[in-house]
Amino acid sequence: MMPQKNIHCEILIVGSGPGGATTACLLARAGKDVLLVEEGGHFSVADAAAYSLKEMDLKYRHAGMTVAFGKPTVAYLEACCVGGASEVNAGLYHYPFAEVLENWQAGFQIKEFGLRELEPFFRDGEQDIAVTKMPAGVGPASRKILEGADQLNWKAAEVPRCWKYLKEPSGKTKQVRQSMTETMIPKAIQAGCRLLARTKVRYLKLNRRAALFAVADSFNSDGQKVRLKIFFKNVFVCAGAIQTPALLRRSGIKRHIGDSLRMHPAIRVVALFKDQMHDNTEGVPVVQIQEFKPRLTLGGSYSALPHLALWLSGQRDVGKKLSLWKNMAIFYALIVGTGKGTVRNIPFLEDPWIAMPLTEKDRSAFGDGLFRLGQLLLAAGATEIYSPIAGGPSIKNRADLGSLKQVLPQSGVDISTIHLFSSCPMGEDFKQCAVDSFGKVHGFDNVYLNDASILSGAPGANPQALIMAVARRNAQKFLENEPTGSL
Amino acid sequence: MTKVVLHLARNIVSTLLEQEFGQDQHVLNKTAVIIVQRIRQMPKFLSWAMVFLTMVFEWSGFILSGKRFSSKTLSEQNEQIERWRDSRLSVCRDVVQFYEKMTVFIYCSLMDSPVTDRQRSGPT
Repeated sequence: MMPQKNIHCEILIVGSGPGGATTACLLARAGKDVLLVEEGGHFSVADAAAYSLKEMDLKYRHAGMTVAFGKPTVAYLEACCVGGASEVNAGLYHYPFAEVLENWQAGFQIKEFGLRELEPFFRDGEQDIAVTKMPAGVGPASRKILEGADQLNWKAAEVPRCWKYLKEPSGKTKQVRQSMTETMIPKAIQAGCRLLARTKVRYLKLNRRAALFAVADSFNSDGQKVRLKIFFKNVFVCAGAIQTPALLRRSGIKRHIGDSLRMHPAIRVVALFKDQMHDNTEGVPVVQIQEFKPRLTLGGSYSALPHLALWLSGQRDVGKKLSLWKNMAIFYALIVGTGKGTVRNIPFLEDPWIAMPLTEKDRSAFGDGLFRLGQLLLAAGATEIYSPIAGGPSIKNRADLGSLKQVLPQSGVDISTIHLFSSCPMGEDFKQCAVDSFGKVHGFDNVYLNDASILSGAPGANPQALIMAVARRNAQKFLENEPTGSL
Repeated sequence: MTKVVLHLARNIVSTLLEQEFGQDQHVLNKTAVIIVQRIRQMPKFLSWAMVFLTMVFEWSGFILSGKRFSSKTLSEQNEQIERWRDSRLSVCRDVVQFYEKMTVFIYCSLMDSPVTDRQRSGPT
């Protein structure tokens, strides 16, 4: 018989990523009795090297082995650890585009959601986490993007990131990722929030318009499983665009839940240059092409030897190519997907089934994106670009670029994403929205969502800044509507 | 399962990487163990499908040539991988592609890591 335990709190927050950690911090600071639960383990930034096998084991759900089904399938990554995606992403801090917010506001009838109305929440957020540009200049891959953009007269810019640069006594600069475990979570705990890691909420017990308690399985320090009943006054579900709808649907909340998953699918190419491309300065390149945003973003990816091998593995003579790996880097074309995916639980199984159709329009946008990426890299001095399409020819000059400008095939091509959104969109339009303008689930008095799942679509920019600003805005609205407490 | 994956990984490394990176038996064994571990870590429906397809791959050789994949010589194994890679069935191509990607990524990760990490007995 599994041991059982009851826990009481005023506010339960499920999920400790940028949305959940921000919510927990603000509500705890306002004097609320907050319990933050996280399915994954609690690790520090230093526990695993970035983008390593160990990091995948410790911090990713299913060690990163997750796919959304469609033609082609899309490999997606979900973090599963205290701090969520902020522990594993590039930390790029990008303001959203005003026209994207305006479209969402009009299309979903969202109150108080213009860029001007959100700006104070971005500014407040930047006081809680360090957001900076690189103090000693960008790395080689970023410089290539800038050179190519300069040649083509395209707009390009360094995106600031959630990173701190500390001068050490030796004169070297130490870079520290400003993830949630370094920023919002310690601040939340300092303000009185309790954190329970390795605890998976199975379902919320409902009674008409209210959730009464959560049933969760928690692993204690001995590895023993304990069944918890967590009683609360209000619950915020912030488990991300896949796990939030999965939990709600398991609990019986299904209206517009998990019906409209959106993403930023990306395709990658490896490019070879005459110069060395590795100097350990920046990890993920921080410069992006701004010219075609929000519909298309061009940028660089983490490019260590194993990652280059992964993206070159479709090539017949991969070993020979990899002998020049120090002169190679990975670049991506990222689009705003137009297909709507679904999140559905499968009876008797833990994990939901994710379907994500890439539309003809998306595959055509990828063709355009690859073409422009090829233009950029050739202009930056690439001597060879390896096609991401199985059996596709490599690109050595402008005349070869035509082979990239095609509607992407439905198989034999690797599409991946780490940006997932909109599975429970917010707004006052009951015909398509799961939650109101401030995250309260329609039809329920004490169930709130506050993460990427409530965004109305794919923003066309790295989403962490937007997710944190929206979470801050919604937490403030919640406190305004509560009889006690203020920020 | 581990035996089939080890044979697959060995063949992929010898075809794609050996000339430039050599073939380290210890790293190869560890690569196979990690791939099997990764398959077990997948969502159940994916994991079951991968195990089933890997077994189909192993036994399909028996139907055509009287030998399971893991009992074949390196060149015979290579022929079978080539047949699956060029198959008209996308599921066959996907199986080979999956193992190629996993093998090169994990093998290169281990080769790229400090020697002490490589020689640890268990997976990372």
